[in-house]
Amino acid sequence: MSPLPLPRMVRYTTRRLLLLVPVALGAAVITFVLLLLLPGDPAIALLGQEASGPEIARFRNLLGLDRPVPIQLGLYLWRMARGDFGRSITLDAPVLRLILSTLPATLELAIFSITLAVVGGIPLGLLAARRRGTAVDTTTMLLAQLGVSMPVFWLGVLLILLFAVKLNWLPSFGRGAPLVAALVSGNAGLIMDSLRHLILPGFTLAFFNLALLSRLTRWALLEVLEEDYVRTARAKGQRERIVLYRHALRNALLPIVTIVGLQFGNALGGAVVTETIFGWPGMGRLVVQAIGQRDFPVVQGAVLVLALLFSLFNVLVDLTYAFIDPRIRYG
Amino acid sequence: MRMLHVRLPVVVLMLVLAIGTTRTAPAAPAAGVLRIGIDVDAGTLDPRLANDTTARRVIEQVYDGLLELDAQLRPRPALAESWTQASPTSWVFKLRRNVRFHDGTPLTAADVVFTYTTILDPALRAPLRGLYLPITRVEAVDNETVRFTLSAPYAPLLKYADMAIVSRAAVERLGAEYASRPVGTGAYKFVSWQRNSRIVLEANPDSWRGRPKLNQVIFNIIPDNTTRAAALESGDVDLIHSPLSPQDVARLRGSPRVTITQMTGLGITYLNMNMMDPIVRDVRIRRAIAHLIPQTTIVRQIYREMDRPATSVLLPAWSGVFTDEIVQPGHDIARAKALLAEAGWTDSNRDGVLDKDGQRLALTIRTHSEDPNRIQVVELLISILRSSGIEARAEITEFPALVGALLAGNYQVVLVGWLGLVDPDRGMFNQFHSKGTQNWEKYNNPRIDALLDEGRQKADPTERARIYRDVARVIATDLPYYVLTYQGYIVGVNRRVQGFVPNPSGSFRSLWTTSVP
Amino acid sequence: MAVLFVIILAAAVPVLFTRVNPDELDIMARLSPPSAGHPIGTDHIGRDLLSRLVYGARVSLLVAVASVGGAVAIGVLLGLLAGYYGRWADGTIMRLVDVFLAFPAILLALALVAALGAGITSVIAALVLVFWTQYARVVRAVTLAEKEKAYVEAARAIGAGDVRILARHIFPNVLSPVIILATLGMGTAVVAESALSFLGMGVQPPAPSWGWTLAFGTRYLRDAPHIATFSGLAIMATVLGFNLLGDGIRDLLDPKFRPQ
Repeated sequence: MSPLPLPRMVRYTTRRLLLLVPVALGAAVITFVLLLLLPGDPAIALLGQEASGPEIARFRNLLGLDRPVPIQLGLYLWRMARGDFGRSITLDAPVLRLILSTLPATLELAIFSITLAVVGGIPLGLLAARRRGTAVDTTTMLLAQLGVSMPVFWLGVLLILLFAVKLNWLPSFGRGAPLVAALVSGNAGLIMDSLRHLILPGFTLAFFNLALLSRLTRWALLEVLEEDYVRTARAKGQRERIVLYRHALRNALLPIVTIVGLQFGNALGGAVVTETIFGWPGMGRLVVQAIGQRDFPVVQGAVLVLALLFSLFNVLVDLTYAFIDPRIRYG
Repeated sequence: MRMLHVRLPVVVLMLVLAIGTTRTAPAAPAAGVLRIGIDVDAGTLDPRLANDTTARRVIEQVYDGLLELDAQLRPRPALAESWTQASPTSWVFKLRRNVRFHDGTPLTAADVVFTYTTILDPALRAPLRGLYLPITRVEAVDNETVRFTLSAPYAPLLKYADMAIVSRAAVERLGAEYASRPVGTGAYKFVSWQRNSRIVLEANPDSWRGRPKLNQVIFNIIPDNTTRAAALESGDVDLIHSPLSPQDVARLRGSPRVTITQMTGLGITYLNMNMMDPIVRDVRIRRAIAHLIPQTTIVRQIYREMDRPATSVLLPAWSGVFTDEIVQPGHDIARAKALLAEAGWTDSNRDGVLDKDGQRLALTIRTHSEDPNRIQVVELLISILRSSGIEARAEITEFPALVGALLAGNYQVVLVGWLGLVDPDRGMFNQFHSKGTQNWEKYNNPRIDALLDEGRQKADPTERARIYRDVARVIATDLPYYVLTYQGYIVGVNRRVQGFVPNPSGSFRSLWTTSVP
Repeated sequence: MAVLFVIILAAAVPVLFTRVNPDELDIMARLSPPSAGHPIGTDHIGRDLLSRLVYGARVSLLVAVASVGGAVAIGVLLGLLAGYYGRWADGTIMRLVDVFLAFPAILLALALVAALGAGITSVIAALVLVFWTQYARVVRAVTLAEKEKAYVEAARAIGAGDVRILARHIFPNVLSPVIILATLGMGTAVVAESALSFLGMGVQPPAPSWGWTLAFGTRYLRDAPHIATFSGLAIMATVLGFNLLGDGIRDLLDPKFRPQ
């Protein structure tokens, strides 16, 4: 039991990272099985209304679908291990390229919406906690309650209707210039374009998390305010505000980080409905369409990437726990 | 630090509002740029492999075929200057001179031969291969002449000769990449493709048609019908077309910025009745179902007059063949009830559901989840059937699952459609011939077989008209299909756009004459 | 709480709220706004919206209860096993949890429903498979903590079998976090069902489902806003009710949060 947690942390991290492999494998196999269970197959999807017995048989043969299932599974895993994600059946392009072209869009939306949620939710929660019991507190919490109860897609459509159509302030669909590139270039026009397209879908996605985070922050803060050491610190005469921020916030961080981590993972693949409504060219939409068109390679590749990203992120979150709260040790 | 937790969100909010309200100008289209809103991303831009509407729209700009079909579906010269039928089974096409692909290489007969030969090759996943099967050989007579040899006379051949011609050199050079980097002879050149976002084309000044009036054509992919319509209304796009939601069309008609053009298209929505099902195989049941369908009400209420009520399997677009004198059974509830009784179905146990020999009259109507209008029609039909004593239920699945069921014959009644029916043979042969590859309902009628074979061989328009009308007459009585609507084709255009001529096949061929000032 | 009560009442005894048959339709009257004959208007094919929503409560609650119930059952069982037996059992079960968690929830649900064929059973099955992991995790954590406690040692010392220990001593401690999670989970289940319907893979028509109604309502949002408004409100109110219930239970169980 060394006093420095570092070697143990490294061991822990390595172990967690290694564990990603069976998780990825498991996800890959489950996806494969699920896809096979889907009625209809890519041959039918490709042929569309030209589908006929002989043509479907020909396509299935060309796509390798008439081989025995274990062989298909074996080939698929073998290729995946070598990093060959194959070629999309309906979109006729390398799967990796499709994923790489849609991933930035999803990441951009996810990061933007989480930032909005954090920047909006935490201060709101702090405010409510500080003004506990007052009208400010009640109204904020009421809004937050509504926020976590509202179906995402309803909000999205309402926002489009109000801001894009009635007021014509913001575009109704699509993604503008990539935000990072725009910021780097420093071109104000590009940045504006990027942000204008991001606001509505970003806010739609963020709203739930914003509400959740504000409730969570308030709760965490209130809990901490009861702790003895806070009372002691206050007795020492430090200014109330500093007491709040330094002690309370750090303790509240733990659940907040959990939620942020969870929601980020959620946004990665779960933004499907938002992406559909706003025509946002992200991975969620890519996968849903691929499922509908039985485009197996795309679904398999995308799910694998999402699963790996999400698991990686979980490890990061767990490591952040240890960082924040020295009491947590991973042995 | 003092009011940070209050100030920060306020600042952010102000920033957000500021961004939202600063607008450079109302969304005015740049001159010479046409922005089109479409519903799905193209699957592939290789014309031999393409099978979705967006791909076709883009391909029509980037490529040309030997000929093209006008608004009346008549062939007119494109890459082929002229053609002759040397014998009943042989066609010769003479190519236009001095046509170049976008990469500068000249178009030759070899490219035409390459295009058609590869399509016919079973190792290429060409979905439309079935249409070209009667072609046994394609050969270059010389650099500018191509001969097609057929296994038997094939009247619809010219209708399918609008297949885009690919550059053999480019295909061999780019391989599978060709699907994402098309090289053709068309009025517009391919520039870029951001998946699920937009496809950009620019003018080809050396086009054999002459310089196009537009500088750029941008296809914006907006899957949601309402969002797309909203984009047209707000000026974010200049042109949209079917599929559109009926209520959006109704609203767009009232918009001052937009012109709506509506015409009858090349598609139908119909009920496919499984002749192998023990209940549906009784023609009286099929007729009773037909009699129960309030066709006009459906078209008016659900489709809001976007489509037309259908009379038979003949399409109005088939000029010369179509006649509205051939009609399917009409809306007649009394007659329906009489037919059901005649077929032996009565409510013997007074439970509200008709039965016969201890079996309940149970009917499942299936359709696909991608089309909300069809879902509503099915919901309505279920309700109507139930009130007539039929135990009806719905089954809504994704399209591939539905086609799987059709193929397996695992259904009773399916509401689905056909698109792109450029020729009566396209709309009837595979569907009704006992050897037809898409005769999912397993309709078997030797007289129809003979008629369909004849229709394929005879070239004379009057003969073909007679033949296909006879087929339609029988179908309207036997009812393996009950055609619900003739699909309409609707285009919404920003008034600033000039020179766009809609084509019922949905083709955007007129874009080379379109301009945006 | 009152909200929830109303909704449960509506599900159980719909006749109190409406005498209209939810399947009866008048296509000519489709998409009509609230009027005398139809207190909150009609839906996209002319059925009375109020009765659709009232009967829809049954469907939504059924989906919520069944899917959460199933998820809880599986999650609690696996969580108890993982926490109590540790090592091998813990390892496999937690890896299973990781794998399921790695899937984006909605994609997993969508794929499952597509594979099983759309319909209420598939939706429930899909949601169970998506939600069980969170219960398993929590239960495992609690079990891990509890099993080291003195009273468990004592029970073992007097010869109590594993099953008995699990059932009588550990399980009751697991209950409170599970109940809180479950009530919140019901709300999520209702929203999940409507999301699936929005994407086209939910409960089959003509069953009155809030999700379907909202999905069609958003399509007709500009012509007939009442459909989306009221069905969205119904969903939101139910979720709100469950959330408040969950909060209330948590307040009851954890004295720290009693307002001062």
